[in-house]
Amino acid sequence: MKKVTVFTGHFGSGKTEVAVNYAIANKVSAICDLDIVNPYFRTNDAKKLLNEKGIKVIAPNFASTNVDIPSLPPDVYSVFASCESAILDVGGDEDGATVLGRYRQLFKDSETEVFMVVNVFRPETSDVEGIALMKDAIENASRLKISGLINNSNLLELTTREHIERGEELVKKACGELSLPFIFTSAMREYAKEGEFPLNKYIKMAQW
Amino acid sequence: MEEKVLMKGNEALARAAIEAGCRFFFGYPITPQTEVAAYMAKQMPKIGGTFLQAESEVAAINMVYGAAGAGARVLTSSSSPGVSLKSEGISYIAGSDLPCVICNIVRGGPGLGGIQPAQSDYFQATKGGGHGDYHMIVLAPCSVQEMVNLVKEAFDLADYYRMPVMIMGDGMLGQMMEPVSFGSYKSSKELAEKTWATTGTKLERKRNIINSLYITPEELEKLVVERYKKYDTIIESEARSEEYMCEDADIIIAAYGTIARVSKTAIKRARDKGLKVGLIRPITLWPFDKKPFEKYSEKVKSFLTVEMSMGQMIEDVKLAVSGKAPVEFYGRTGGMIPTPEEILEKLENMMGGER
Repeated sequence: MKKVTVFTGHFGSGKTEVAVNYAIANKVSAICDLDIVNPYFRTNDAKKLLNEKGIKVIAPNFASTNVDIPSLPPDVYSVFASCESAILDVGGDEDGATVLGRYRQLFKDSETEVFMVVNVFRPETSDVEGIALMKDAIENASRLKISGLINNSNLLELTTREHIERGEELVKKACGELSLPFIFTSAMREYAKEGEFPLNKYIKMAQW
Repeated sequence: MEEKVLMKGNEALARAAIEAGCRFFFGYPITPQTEVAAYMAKQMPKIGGTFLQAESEVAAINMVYGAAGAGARVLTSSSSPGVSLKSEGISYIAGSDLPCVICNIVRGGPGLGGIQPAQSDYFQATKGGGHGDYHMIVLAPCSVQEMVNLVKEAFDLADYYRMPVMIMGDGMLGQMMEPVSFGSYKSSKELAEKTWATTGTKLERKRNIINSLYITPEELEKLVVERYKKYDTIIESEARSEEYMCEDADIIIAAYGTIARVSKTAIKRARDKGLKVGLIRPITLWPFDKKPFEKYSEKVKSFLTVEMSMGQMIEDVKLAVSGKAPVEFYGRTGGMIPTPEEILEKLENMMGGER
């Protein structure tokens, strides 16, 4: 594979939502759901749409079913062997990032970017110190280096521009202290300003 | 206004417990409540508390029994199959008049069932679960914010009445994220010192004994009858529910937790179509708040109980309505969540007289 983009971060930061939107916007060939942590809201929930856009979805056999088995899909290897570009959407925290270690050899042969998605309204990544601790924990577990931070700060339906901008300021400060590039700010399409990465709601949520 | 953060129901539950002064958590991981244990494992060591992953749910609840006996604020959490395992211990805790908080983030059953949300443990929570004449106060939040407030209150209620209190959520409430703030709960109860706790006599007082074994039937009966007087007080003063658009309603939905929110969406759509529908949302499942049902039972054409089960709370609704109006049922089970459209269709059928 020529290019692989990994989305990682604290659980509940919106990794999956950003990854699915990124896959569609960048017309990647495949997206792999490697989340062994979260039993509910999954990449696989957007499978139909992604397939319609010509994006292959690789997910564990049991994703979004009633079966509680954290298995990795074997066809990840075929994605590395045959796809031009792919996104890996991994589970939250260091626990979720652990699975990446297994693909270490494959990463060596591809151009690899590892983005950490940050929502500063998640208590554990609400300051530079918390973001740094999360970055270290994910790097240690995945044996990959984070190559940039994405600001996805939001309070769901209570989000205002002020929240997004406060998040951007803090994530940029973290980037400065950790010597990391700032990748972009992502925000739901109705709030996003020019130059930000607009998100459509693709992952199904609660029924109200 | 206090700053909001974005948290999963399970995380918020755990943080609320810590803020309520809980320093002991004993549990065993099970989807969909594992984040409670994960949060406690990370946070308890930082604040001098104890997190212990027991070898089983049976062990965990007996550790709760011990900590509660020593007067500590203690929490355990699990999901349906795990709560079945804890039921023996819960009965012992109730039989020893000890305060503790137990969370059940309910999933589909019976047996190992599935990992998706359900409400099919209503009978277990409100009608026993364990053996013997006993009750727990059962609180059913419908949002992450209400989860936070009720968890804090649960510790106060447990200490005030010296009994186990259960927080009953479902997998959706445990897993979903919502903006939440932590400062809004104020305790309304004056809590007595725990002079009954087994904290060591220091040779200065008589021994305290924690026990649920009484060989003499007269003695056991007397204790149970006294405990039921306490239960009467609780029924009188703690039963609580929310009413929503009931005043002019032809049909009142009875629903708790997650499904009450789905029902509200269905009610708004029904009102757009000119159907007068309201909602009674029980917040305490035990004691069950009969008053609003009594108030409206002669005004409405019908009640509709909506649950993520085959129909369990409907029995309490029927008892409260006492034959004065028909009580119908709509439910999904096994981890399926009724949609607003399904509830609306049921309402339209009821209004169309196609019963």
